[in-house]
Amino acid sequence: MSRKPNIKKSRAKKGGLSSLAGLKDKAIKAAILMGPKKTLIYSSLLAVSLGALLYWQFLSPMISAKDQLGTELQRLHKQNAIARMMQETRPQFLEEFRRVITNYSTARELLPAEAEVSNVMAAIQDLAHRNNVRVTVFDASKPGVKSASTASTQPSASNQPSDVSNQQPTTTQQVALNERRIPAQIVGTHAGVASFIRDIAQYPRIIYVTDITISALNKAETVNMTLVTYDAPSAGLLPPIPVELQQEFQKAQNARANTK
Amino acid sequence: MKRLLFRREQRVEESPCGLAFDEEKGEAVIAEYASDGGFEIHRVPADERRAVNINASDVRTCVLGWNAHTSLARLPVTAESTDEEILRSIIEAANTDPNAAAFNFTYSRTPDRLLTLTQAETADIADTLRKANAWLDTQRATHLKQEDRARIRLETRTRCNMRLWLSSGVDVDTCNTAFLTVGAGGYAMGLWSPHSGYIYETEERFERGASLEMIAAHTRDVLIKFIAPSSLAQLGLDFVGRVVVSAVPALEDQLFQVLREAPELHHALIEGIRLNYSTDRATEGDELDYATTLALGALIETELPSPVDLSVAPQEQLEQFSESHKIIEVARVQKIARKARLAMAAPVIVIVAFLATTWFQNRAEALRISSNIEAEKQTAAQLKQATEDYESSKKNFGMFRSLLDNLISLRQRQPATHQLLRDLDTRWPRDASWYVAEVNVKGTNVEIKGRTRNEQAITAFAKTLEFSDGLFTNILTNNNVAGTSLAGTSATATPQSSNVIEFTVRANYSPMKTPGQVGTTATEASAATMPTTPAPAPSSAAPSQIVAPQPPFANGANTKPMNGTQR
Repeated sequence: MSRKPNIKKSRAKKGGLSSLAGLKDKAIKAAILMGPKKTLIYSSLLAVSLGALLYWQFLSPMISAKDQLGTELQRLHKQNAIARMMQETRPQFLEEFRRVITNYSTARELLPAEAEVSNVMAAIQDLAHRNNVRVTVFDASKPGVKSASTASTQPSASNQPSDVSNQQPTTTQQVALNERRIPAQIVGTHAGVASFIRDIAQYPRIIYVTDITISALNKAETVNMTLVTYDAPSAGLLPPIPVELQQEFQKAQNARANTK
Repeated sequence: MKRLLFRREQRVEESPCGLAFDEEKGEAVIAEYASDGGFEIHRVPADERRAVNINASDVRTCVLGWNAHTSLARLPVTAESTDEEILRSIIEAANTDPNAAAFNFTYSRTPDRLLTLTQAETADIADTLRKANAWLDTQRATHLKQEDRARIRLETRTRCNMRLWLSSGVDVDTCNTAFLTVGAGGYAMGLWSPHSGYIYETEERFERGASLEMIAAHTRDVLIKFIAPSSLAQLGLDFVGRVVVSAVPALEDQLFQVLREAPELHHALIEGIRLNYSTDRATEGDELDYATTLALGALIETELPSPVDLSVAPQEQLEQFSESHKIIEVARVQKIARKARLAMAAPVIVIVAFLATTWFQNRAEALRISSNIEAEKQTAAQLKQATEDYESSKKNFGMFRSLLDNLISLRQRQPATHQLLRDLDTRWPRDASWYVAEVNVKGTNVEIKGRTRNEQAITAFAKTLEFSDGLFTNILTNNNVAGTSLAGTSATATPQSSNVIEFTVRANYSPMKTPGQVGTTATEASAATMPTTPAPAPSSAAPSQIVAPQPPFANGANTKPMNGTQR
């Protein structure tokens, strides 16, 4: 039973081969009859047609695919070139980063640490005493809050005219300073009050006076004000610095700690 | 593999050799081409086995009998006819002649487009072939195959001598030449014409027992008749000026003497055959002997007279020609078919080669680009990581910078309150009645409340604030006579019954800006320096809000200036 299909297949194969051979013989006979020149012309036309068909069918898509690959390669090449160019600015960036970190380290000394806030408050009391003004109100009971002015770079809601050029660029994440607002009232002569305020202005740590109201009564002046000071953020809250600079600043911090 | 590669499909073309038998000496004379362009002549005993190492496959010799004959052909064909036509004509003629069965025929063409027919007895041919083969067999090495027998080509003696004479550089003049070859058994004569070439040949066997004198005399007589004008006229020739003689050594001297003494032959030059006539040193002593002449003449090959082979029958020649023509025809058809195939295949091959080349090129290019893309993607991934790190570092940098800016702005803000007091102190009007009751600062808003008797002092104060190079902006004044109420107006009030004018001056003091709103350009500024005052754009509304100057108050008695704030 299984032989019949095989026999049919072999017959069909033989038939196909014999028809091919016959076709070939016919073609050669026709070519001999036509002569080499005509055969060459017809064969060239046939070959060109066949070649064009094959080219259109197979090679054109292949070439298109290759061109697409080439375009993709160019895109990647360009993208990588941009990325490399960007990376080439990294040394300058690191240098700038180093400078900012150094400046910050210097500026950070202007802020008292959290443990030092009480010392600052004592110093204010001392300044008042030295300037012969009396501190009638000194409310340091309010807990520290994140500074509204430093927690965000959004312009404040004050009624001052908005100055766009003074706004900092908005960033999604900021390290906030811990603000301590201390309502206070002092009473003293005008000279004493002015001297006290001058001393506050010249105090080595950052502390400033805001929301001040000076009322004159007889020869005395009553000054209601809010003293504002800030805690330095702890090292854990600070953003990480690049790996290239970590070792360098670690050494600097260690050296500073040893000096202290 | 080596055997397959270097197997010889065809036999190597070997040098032919000429063979002749010297019956008197019982020797075989072998002539071969020498490597220096000359000839090598060997004489060996004819009956000695393996006397010479002869491996030539092409052996040329002369028919031994004395019955060969050549004359102009009387056939219904011409020299322009094809070889097949001539051979068919010969075969047909032989078939009609009952005596022709004993002869073998061949033909040749003369330069003047005549056809000559040469015939020889088949028995002589068979004897010659038998003798030559027998001798060759005795010389052949026993290990060689028997089927590798040499092919023996047979010529006539006159043809051989004529060919040697013509190729020896002799000065061929315009006269006709007769060739006389005399052997022990017979003689052969031939005629050569510069115009027609070889045209006639005949042979005759001597009677047995004839003496040398008789042979010489008979030969002389026959030669005289042969070159007689009447005989020559039948062949279209007029005069024979030279007689070339080759005779066996036993007859040679006597024959030359007889011939030279014959008065009928005095007009002709009688000479032997020398190998090189152009050499001055060549004398009669250098003349070749009979057998050597035949061997050399059989060996060499010249265009005229054309070579013939009497060992092959016309029918065989015709078959060979037919076979050759068939082969040629097949080759021609094959050549045409090859051309047709080439014409068919060449464009296809070119196109296929082009397509294949394009395909391979594109494939190779695509593979190269793909590999490059992979490499670029890997690089891109690495660069992406580095870029992300960089971007993250930039954000961190921004935070540090913001923190630093905030610190600097806080430091800049620190002396602002004291600075405000100083700035106000320098701008209080010099008016004795000027009394400041309250200074209120909320953010940048500064509100100053006070009293004065001099209304112009308020205006002057407002003006000093206005021309403060931007320190104070948005200056608003409000004043009213004490004891009266003036709601919602900022216009200058008309002095009433009281001389005291209460005023309120409002302004913005820019250094009091909320810390953190200072521009980032101040990052390098020292904390001890004064805050930079931003240059405010001159507000168009500001001048209209400034209160117009009022006339000064003369009375300032009830005023109580704030300590230190009154000037």
